[in-house]
Amino acid sequence: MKPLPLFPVSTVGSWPRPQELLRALRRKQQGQVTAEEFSRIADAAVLEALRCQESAGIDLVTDGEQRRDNFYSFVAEKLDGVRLMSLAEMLDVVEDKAGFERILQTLDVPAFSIQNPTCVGRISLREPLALDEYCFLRQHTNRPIKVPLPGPYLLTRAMWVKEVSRAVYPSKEDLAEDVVAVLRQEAFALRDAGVDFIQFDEPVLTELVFTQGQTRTFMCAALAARKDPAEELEFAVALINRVVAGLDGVRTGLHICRGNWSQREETLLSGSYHPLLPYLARINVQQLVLEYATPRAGELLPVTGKELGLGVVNPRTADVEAVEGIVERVREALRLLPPENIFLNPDCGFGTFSRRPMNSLEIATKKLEAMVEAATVLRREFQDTSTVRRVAGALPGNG
Amino acid sequence: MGKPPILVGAVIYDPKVALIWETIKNFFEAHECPMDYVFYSNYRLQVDALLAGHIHIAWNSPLAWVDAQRRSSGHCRAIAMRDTDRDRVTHILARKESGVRQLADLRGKTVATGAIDSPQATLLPLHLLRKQGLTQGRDFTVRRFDVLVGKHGDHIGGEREALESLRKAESDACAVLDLNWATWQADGTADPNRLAVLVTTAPYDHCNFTVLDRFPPEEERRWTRALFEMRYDNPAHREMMDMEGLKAWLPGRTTGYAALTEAAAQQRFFEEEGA
Amino acid sequence: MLFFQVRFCGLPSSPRGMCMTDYTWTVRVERVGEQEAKVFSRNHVFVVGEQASFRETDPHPSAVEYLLGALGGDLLRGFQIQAARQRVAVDALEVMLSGRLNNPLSHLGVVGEAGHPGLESIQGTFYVSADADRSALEEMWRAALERSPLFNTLRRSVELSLELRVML
Repeated sequence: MKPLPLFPVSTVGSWPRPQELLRALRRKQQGQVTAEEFSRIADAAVLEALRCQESAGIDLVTDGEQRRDNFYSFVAEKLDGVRLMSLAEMLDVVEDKAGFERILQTLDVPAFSIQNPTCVGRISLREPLALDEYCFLRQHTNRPIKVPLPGPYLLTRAMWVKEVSRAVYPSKEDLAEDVVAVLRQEAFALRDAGVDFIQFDEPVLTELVFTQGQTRTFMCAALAARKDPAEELEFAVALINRVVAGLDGVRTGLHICRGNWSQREETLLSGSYHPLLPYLARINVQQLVLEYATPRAGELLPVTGKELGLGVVNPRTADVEAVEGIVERVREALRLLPPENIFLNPDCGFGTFSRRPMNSLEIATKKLEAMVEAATVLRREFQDTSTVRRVAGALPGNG
Repeated sequence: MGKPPILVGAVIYDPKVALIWETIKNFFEAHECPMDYVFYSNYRLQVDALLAGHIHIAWNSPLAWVDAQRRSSGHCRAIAMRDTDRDRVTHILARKESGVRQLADLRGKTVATGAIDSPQATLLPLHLLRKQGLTQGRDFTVRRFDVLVGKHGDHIGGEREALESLRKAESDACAVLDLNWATWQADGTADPNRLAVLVTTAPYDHCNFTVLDRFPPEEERRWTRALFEMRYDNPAHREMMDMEGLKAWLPGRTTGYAALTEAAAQQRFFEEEGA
Repeated sequence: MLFFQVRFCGLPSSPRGMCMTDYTWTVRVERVGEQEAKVFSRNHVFVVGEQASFRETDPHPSAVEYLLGALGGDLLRGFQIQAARQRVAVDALEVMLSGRLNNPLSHLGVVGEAGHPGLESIQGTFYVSADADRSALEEMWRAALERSPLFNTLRRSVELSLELRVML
């Protein structure tokens, strides 16, 4: 694992895709482009995303999730037993069509444009989920690399479409067993290949709390009768801990946002993270990657024994945050955490869904630069003799 | 030909509330006590209708009860209420880090309240402060959030805005109904690590079904008998009761309105309303 | 067009002697239950439920939903026709429409409410994914709107705000 400076700056994962790549993604879904041709275009997009991050001065880089249609449905291409169903197809199959309509309105996208990875057979890893993404990036940068993966609870909820999946697994809990196995296989492979940071994405956890069990996004394709949020949260904690059990030698993190797939504020969830606190404290990852740059976020959460990936810029807004404001936000966090436990991030990815980027390339880049400048100011203030920091063994909460 | 339906008035602010009343109407029909509902846009109109005999029963807010009593010279009865309408309290909250630790610290500060006609979030907390020696205008400033005025603080009516104002340090204290305080802590709207209860009012009562004295006792018995057959442990009734926010219907009582009656008089609420 | 009229009006071989003025459509609506109405339209039958529903589930769409669905179907079909005419291959089309009543409480007869129960505005997004320039798609959209019977009926009394969104 490579060393990081104080107040490392990273992204949450996704980056806006270039038009050529979006056309190639569409043609790939229609079977109109070869894997080689798609790779050629995607490789170029990844390198450009990397260049943007490196020019801005980002310390912990990602490949911008360029090859992925969105942050979690890409698993369908890598797993046996999973088929992409567009939400338009799912509208025909699911019982709660009104529930799906609410979801589509929340996302402000057409049903035909969102593909959901649906469990249609027993799940197993056919090819690596993200190992190839990591290996490609590793060839082109010396900087520490973060790889985001969809979390086990998210994948289980998304892939479980009762009307279809019940033919294969008796319940979503049974499906979850194989999801955990797949993610462990991938995570250990990434660790062995030398990845610096594995981030598990679980945006659904906020849904459970802030919507009182009434689903609002399609990632909970299991639109069952309203479940007790506490029960589901316990389930999520158990799954995540099983995935990371024994995963030493790599930094692990959990990203939980309130959804950043629309520029319409009123469609997004709001509320402090504090109802999740009892659960987050028991999740055995080193870092919580949380959004705090939006007024919807509520107060900063005092989570002891963990690092905080502090969201300091809002990926969805046109205004670039002032450096002083970012510095001030970090200072507020410093009342709760020591400096060596704070990373600077955007609240979420800039292109969670490839066809609905949350910002232009120009503004996204400027936001990265603002974070880097803020980190520079903070480092000058807090620099001590130990500038090389944080290797895996010394990480807090290493479970 | 059977008896004509008993007409019950209700103030509604959202079409979905009408669905609850349709369910209630069907319930009464099934219990051989036909009733129908009449919806009003605000409580003043509803009390007008009760006094004019256009409706038999009014589902009244506590302030509407006080108004009906006032305008009928005390000739109303409260015939039923929810269990959750009894013994409510209002909390006045402050931010823990603000240095406001006791009531005296509110001198010179700003207190956020709900709508002008919210008993729980405006009238009663201001009354409490006055009794504790703090007068609005003289000792502290009120920042009021007039949401859905006319509906007496139903559907939160400015309370959430008042809480937000406190959270953002635009106000130094705010008033919330105890039930809302509990809900907002659970769903993340309010952070109990950052906010503290400064003082709490004495218990008071909330909504009731109001009739005029001249409503025949046998009709009252017929109606309440049917109402009290609504049981939370009956799966067929539970959803309706959850939507209406109760676990049991109880006989009406009027001992819980003294503070509000005093508050409305002291704050000249009805004079300023022009009633 | 004039030739068309002359040809069809009054010819002995035309069984009905149809003219332009005969182009009206008629439906017959029967009561079938307390909360349902059955519509007979040529050889089709469909059931309408409430006038406007505030429930999460109903056995049948409401009259308001039928109106919105009709507008959406009209626009989608109209766009398809334009695309076919321009020989543009369309990968996907979808319309989302939402209508707002001026005051739903006045529909419920709430005493003291102002306003009216009619539709005040319809807002929507027309999504298209096609291999064509944006300007060509916008031209097809414009033509579809121009020729849409329902769009042109409604725009005279309801605020229509419809956006074309091209998806890659």
